[in-house]
Amino acid sequence: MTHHTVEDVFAKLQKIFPDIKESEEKIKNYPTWSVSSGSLFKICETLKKESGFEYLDMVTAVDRHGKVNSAGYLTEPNPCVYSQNPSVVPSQSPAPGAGFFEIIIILTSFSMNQKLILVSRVDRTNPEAESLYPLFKSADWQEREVFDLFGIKFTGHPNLKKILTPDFIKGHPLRKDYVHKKDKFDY
Amino acid sequence: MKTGRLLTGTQRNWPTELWESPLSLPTYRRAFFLLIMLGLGGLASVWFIGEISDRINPLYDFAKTYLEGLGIPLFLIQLAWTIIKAGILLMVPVVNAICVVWWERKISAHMQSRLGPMYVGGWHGWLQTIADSIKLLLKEDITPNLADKKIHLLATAVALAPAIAAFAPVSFGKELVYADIDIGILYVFAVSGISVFGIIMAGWASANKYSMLGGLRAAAQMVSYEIPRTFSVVPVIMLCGTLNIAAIAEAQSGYLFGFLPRWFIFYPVVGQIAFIVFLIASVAETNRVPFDIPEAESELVAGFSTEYSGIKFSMFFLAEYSYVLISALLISAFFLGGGSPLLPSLSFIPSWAWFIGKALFIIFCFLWFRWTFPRFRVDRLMDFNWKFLFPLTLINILLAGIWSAEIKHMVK
Amino acid sequence: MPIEEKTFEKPLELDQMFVNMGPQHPSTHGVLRIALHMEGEVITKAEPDVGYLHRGIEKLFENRTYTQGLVLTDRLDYLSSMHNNLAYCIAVEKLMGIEVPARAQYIRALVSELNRIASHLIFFGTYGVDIGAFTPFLHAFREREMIMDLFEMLCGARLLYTYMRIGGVAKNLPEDWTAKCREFTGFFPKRLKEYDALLSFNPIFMDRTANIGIISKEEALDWGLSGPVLRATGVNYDVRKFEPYSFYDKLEFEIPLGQTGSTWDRYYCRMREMAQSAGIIDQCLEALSKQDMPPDIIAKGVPKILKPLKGQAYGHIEASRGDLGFYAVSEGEFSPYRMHIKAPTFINTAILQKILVGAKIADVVAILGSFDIVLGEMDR
Repeated sequence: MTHHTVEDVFAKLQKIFPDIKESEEKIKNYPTWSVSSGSLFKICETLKKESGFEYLDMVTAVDRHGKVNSAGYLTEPNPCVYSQNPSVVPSQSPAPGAGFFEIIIILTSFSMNQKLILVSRVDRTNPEAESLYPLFKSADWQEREVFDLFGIKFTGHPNLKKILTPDFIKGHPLRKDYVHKKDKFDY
Repeated sequence: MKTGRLLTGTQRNWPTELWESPLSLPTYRRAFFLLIMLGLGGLASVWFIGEISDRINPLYDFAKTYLEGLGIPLFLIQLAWTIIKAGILLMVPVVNAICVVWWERKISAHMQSRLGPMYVGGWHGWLQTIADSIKLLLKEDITPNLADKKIHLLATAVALAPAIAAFAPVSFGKELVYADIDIGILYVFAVSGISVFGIIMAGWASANKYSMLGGLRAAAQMVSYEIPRTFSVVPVIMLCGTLNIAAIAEAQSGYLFGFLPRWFIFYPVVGQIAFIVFLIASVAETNRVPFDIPEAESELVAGFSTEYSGIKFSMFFLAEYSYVLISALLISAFFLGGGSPLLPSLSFIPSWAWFIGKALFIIFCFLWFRWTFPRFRVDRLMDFNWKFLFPLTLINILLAGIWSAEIKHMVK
Repeated sequence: MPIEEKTFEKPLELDQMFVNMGPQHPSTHGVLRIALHMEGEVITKAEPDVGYLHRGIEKLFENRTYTQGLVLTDRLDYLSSMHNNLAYCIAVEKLMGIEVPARAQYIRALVSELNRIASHLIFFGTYGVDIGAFTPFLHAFREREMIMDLFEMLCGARLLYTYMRIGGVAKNLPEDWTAKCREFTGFFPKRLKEYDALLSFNPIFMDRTANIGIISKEEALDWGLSGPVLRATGVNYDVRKFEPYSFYDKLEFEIPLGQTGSTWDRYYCRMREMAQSAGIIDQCLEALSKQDMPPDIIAKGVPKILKPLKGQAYGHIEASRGDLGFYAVSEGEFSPYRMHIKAPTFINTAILQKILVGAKIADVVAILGSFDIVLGEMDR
């Protein structure tokens, strides 16, 4: 069955998945729903099969660790930039492990002419989420990218390897607490 | 307010009318006129030189009687004469490559609305190829570490030597043949077939996967295209009754109804089919676009010549251009009447000029194909050969048989 | 970067061969590596390997102000910088709630269509070279040179323009620019016919491209393709119609669609898009020459130093290679908290691992070329 507006879809989904709710911070100007990471896969499956959201635009993540003192990354003398000692973390930063990851998923329905954004929170200490690969093949490389840059493990992904960064880069560069360790390419 | 450096006001104009039609600009009209004048001047000088054999033969006879008078045995004189002729023949591939490469660069440039080499030598970059060959000779010769060094070196010789040897029975005009042997056609095809070994050896010895793929492709392609190429000449042999290249060219002189030359290409159906098949197969044999899959630069980097540089690379280059010239000369001998003029009134132009002029026209066609067509895919290439060209040549031989049995005596 | 030791799940059979196509190869269009397992000339497994040009642009955004970030976007898809600028500006404008004046909107549409033609011309030229025809390349570059001249006149740069500004565009059109641009749009459609005669309907070219790399509609949607690659399969998805930006809803144009999703369809979709773009340029010039158009080219009240409130925005446009999106997160600072680039070529290229299997090595080049990849955008 098809729905005519995205509100209908939301009302229907809320009956099946009670944890889905309108996100308090909308991603301008699209309907933004916040869902739990456990039910993300099932919600996407329902959206794809019953509401015509058959096209996955984008998968990405945001590190909600909190603001770090980014000025340190631009100037040379800061010890945190090319730290030999990874235990040194930038000053004025939140406590290690604070915050969470947000997984952002954008879906498109051609029948409704509508884009829809799902936001899901993932624990920061052991980030894991269910892979969307069985539903949308386009999640293949995008999830690998998120894994590479944020370190979120997608269970059920057939080929979860690093994709963008070289193999000698340890860690996940887009995490806010990432500290670059000096290697042979640094002078 | 004007912004931008180059396109301010009238500083740069797009020559759009030139791109629409080249002759719309006076500069181009002048250049066209100049080309025509150059051609006429060339014709006049060619007429002035006349038949080369008529000039050389008395000279040779005079030298022979003089030297015999001195008591030198005849075989020594003949040996010296053969060595002189061989030396001249050895120069042919080199001079040919130098000229054709420059020509190709200029022609391709003008087809692509650019100018090509313009600086070296002063006039339209005419010394560019010489400069390039000096550069190639002086370049470092690199052999890959893992390569089979002996075969890597030997491959160049195996590719080039047959290309030069194949020139022996090829006719350049009336009595201008190095070796006037009776099985000339067989000799050319047999000898030029050896070159493929050089390419396979180059592909194998380079220890590079792209080279090996290129070598294998070359083997498949060149061996396959030998067959329609040889078969397409069979009607010519049947109708002329000889395997001697000079004799075949000679047999096509004369005119039908007083104006139509008796060139083989003008024989209805049989001649045209044979000509087209031979032309296509020749392009394929010389590994040029659209059949350049052994060295397909966008797929296999440079194919079998990937790991060659400097003088070794120029050997392959030389071989390729020699084969282009041989193909062009053979086409003009087999199908375009060799040294016979197009019209009876044009017979003041000597036969060698006709011969080479026709060959140059065929070379121009080769260049034209190269800068117009995209490349075939390897399996389509084989399909085209075995499913189209090969049956076509067989049918053509049948038609030629009917022609020679039934129609030939009626036209005569 | 040292090339890693590849460990295969299954060792190669005796008659198989492993070929590294790239990162140094004439027709991978940059530093893409495709690891090919072949039997003879037939591919049995293909693994595209990206990341050789990864510069961490998303991380760089986090340490730059919004205005400085604009310069980074040029370096993504360096063949159509205007689109990158536009997508970034739209995302930031959404974040800050800026309304762009009408004149700037038309100029944006105009330059992005010009850039689409320039980018597609590069595709046309290099695709010809991939297939083995060299002449179209120089013809395409001749016409592209005209667009480069126009852009140089407009903003002084020929490749990386940084012409857009958040809230509008950097400069108004120079005085004799409109005439030059009309000269181009009058000249260009005739050249398209020439290209068709030279390459598009060449039997060898069609033979090589028409039956390979076929992508079905369902596959295309499943793999999230966008741009001409998606439209060649027959899916009518173009952001210019789906979610019009920059007054595209006021301009008339068609979306060229393919039928079979083959390599030739992808090629010809782009060729037809160029004709549509030339039409849009004419309409934009017409609209811009009207007297009642206010002369503003940048929104009033845009601060010198941008400091958006806390919030998130997603802005996307139809770039020449597909649906290019910028996802911006602001925490109320001078620089974005997170900036994600939804790069169309990155997502499009993923399907290569599926459709290359069973193709010949010559087809790899043809199929890869038809995706029109730019590694600067793919690796970011």
